[in-house]
Amino acid sequence: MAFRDRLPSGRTRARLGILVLVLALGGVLTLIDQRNTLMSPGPAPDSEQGVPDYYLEGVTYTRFDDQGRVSQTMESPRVSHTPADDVTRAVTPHFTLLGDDGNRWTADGEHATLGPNANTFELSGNAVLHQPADNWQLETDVLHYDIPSQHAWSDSGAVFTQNEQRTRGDCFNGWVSEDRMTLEGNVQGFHPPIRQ
Amino acid sequence: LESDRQKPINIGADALNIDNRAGTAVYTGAVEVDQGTMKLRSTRVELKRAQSGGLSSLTARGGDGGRAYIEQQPAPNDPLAKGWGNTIIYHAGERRVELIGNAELHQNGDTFNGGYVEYFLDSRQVNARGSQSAKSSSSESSSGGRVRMQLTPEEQQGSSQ
Repeated sequence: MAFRDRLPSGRTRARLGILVLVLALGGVLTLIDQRNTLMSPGPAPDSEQGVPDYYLEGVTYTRFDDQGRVSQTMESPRVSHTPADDVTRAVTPHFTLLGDDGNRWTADGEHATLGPNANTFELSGNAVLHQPADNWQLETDVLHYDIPSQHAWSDSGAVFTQNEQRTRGDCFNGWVSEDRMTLEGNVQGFHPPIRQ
Repeated sequence: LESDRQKPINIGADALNIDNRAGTAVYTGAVEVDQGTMKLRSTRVELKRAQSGGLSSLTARGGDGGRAYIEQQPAPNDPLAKGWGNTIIYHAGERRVELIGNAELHQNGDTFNGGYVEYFLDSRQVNARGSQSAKSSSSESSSGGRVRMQLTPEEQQGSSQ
């Protein structure tokens, strides 16, 4: 039997063509329908202060001081602002805090709340302040930061670590511009044995 | 004790101040430093770091009655060695103590007083000077430049402990 004879007849070919066309059309329509849900905003972040008036995803936020120098940056996968209290909330933020003469500290935590005029922020949930140059780090529950005075503080127990030294205290204060910090209240320091 | 060297140094205080620019770390308040049998008590202790980042020395200034205090058990059966000074420098790596200004050391029944007393914890060697230190400025020298020692004869040491 020649190859031509084994091909489907003209009418069957037409029906097959229509079937493929319908299937293709169905696929495109499904895609369009999906696109709507893909593009619609995710659930509004829950906050007791009500629904946010805006939220941003994949954020890099930079602040400048009076002389136009970068004084602070924040990166966060999700930031939302609630008009009721004029507060901005960030999820797993990463802050970089820059002192006047180039000192750089970083701060990380599970949540951050930037105050009404965004001049202060509060970092909560495994808050960690890190000073890379001297490689010291401070861990606490809640860390506060006042941007204009570049002052970080914590009223909850804090643990300072540097090399193998660990020192805990009831409260912590740090000044980025002066590159200086204090631990106060029931301070207990541990320094490892001296290696010869 | 010899084993003190392998012990960590624990410090209790009211506050710790770290100034990265000045490179200082200072404990203040009722400062208590412990390393095995070595105890240092003062109102202000400044830490100095070695290149490796570990602790190299502690400088204690002031304490009860204005002097810092240090004690250490030289050997299990020996009496405590006790030292006082306006300033005490404990060189952790060398196991060497400098008592500076109003220096006083009680060690194995002997007593040393002067402007400066140096004591090696492991070898128990003692060096004492009338003035606080060779480098001290005139304003620091206060002890009249004399060293006073009171050495207890051997046989009495047994009875006096």
